[in-house]
Amino acid sequence: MKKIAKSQLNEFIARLMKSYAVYGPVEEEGIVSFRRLTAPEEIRLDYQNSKKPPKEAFFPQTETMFRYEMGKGRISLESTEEVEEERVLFGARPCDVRALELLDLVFDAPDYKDLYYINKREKTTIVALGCNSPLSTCFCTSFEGGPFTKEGADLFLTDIGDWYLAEALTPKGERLLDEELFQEATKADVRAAAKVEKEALAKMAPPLELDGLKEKLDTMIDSPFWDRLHEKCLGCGVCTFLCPTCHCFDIVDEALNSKGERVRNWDSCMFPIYTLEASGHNPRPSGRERWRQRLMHKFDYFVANYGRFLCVGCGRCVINCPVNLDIRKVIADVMAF
Amino acid sequence: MNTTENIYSLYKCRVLRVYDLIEDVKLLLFRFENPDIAESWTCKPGQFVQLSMPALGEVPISICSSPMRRGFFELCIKKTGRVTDKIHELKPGDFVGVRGPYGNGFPVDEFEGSDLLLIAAGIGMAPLRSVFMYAVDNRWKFGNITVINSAKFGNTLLFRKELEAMRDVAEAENIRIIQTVTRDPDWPGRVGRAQEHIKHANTDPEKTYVCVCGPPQVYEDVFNTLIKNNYDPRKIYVTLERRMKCGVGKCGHCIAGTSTFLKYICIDGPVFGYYDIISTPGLI
Repeated sequence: MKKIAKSQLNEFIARLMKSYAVYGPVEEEGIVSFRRLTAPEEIRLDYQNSKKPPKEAFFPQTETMFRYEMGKGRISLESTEEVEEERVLFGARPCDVRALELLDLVFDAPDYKDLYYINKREKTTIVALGCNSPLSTCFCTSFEGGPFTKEGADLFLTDIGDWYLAEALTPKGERLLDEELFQEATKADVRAAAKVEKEALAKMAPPLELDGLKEKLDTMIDSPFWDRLHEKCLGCGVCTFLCPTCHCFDIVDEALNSKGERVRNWDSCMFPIYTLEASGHNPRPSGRERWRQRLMHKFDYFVANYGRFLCVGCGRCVINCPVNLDIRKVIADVMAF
Repeated sequence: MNTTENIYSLYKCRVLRVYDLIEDVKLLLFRFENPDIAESWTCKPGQFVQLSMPALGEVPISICSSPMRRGFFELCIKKTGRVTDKIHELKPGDFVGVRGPYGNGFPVDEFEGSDLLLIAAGIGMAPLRSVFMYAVDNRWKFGNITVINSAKFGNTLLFRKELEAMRDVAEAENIRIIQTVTRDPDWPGRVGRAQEHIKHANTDPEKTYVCVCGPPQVYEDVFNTLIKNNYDPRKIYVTLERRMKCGVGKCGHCIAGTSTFLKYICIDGPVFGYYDIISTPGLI
């Protein structure tokens, strides 16, 4: 176990930036999201839950899939899935790191491999940061997570006052531990970390009751439960856009004159046009079907396909919903229905 | 570093012919430019490709031709939007991008030794033509064959002329072709909806596989009539339409779920069995 003084953090990041492209939480116009750092000072690690999840470091909101240029009778293509630089994702919260493991199941599936995602994933070392003060909307402990879960991290930092305790979990993480900046942690430091962790856990609400949720949903495809649930929903899609586990995307071409790009953008199953077919037929014509789809995908289908819930309890959909539709309450209502 | 192929990359294809079929629907013949791809590319009846128009985007289109002809394929495309409008402007010699084939296709190996009943409504003949052409190309593998092609008007019957021109072959090969319209007073041939002609098929309900394609509204009546006429529900297959983007089970658009499983129409479909359809609300 190592530690680094907080006063040395900027120096640490500056050194990382020499050999890595470093992505970290940056505040722009009041919104914290993960951006490529241009200077160490830009990073702010006192955020509680970034507005946008760090999934965008691997699966950007907008991503060019290839560029093309059309000439007379010919077309030249330039594919953009290659990732040259080694990357570090710095300061991601444990829930968001665990979400990446769920995205891996989709994008790194055995049959079809999505190189745009996989290449970034393979080139990235993840430095996770424990949550000393979870929010009231956090419910990661419901999904086998916790404010200090280390699953998926290469290096794990715990804020213990003037220091960060640093635990390397993989050789990739080990490589970051600069000898000049890190020193051995003392027993007192480890004890302090345990105390911080205990206090954080004490702030968490009790986990949701999820035993039998999938089996319950199995019986609810035609249930009247869905009839009224969506009435309050505006269909804005923020719950799915800001979800660290949602991975739906749209593919569009953007071109001007002879040059263009094929681009993929985040999409949301909460939009009516999402399933609208060219003929005008829409298999999910109302909020009823769309809400059912969102719930079923996360807590039923994904479990059936991969054995895990498609949720890490980050609480973004709870915080950002303009009409206070709280997925925790919806789950409880399903269980009680 | 990348040893795996990019699943979104395109094959370059050349347009060879463009036929006008009915109003707003064209049939296009394509050839792969790369000889290795042309040699190795195979598909099954009922699969689809993603067709790219540079600067406009991609559309998922069912393969309309027999998979027996190497290096070539046909797509039947109705003009319905931005991309398909431009596809209709394609001329022989133009290039497009294609990726695929995707989807499960019809289980034609399972069909072998049985009779075949193909029921198309509206532009449903487009994907079913691949099954029909495959069956004609492999005539000895199948029993009796009936095609029921239906539309509102005589001049909106898809592949009407082609099917008419096959009359002699059909007679020689024990294939019955029934073309019927529902709203055309000037039409000299058969009238009525597709299901009303199931009784005229030359297929033995006990040993027939049925493939159906049409607008969502037709399925219930067709299913009911088939079952009333003793066709085996386990042998009824349908090919579905969906808004699709990736075609490879990532983008989420085509997901449909039942109580017990999730289906990506692009991977698990677009061909589904009768029991899948009736047990999956929202699949059609």
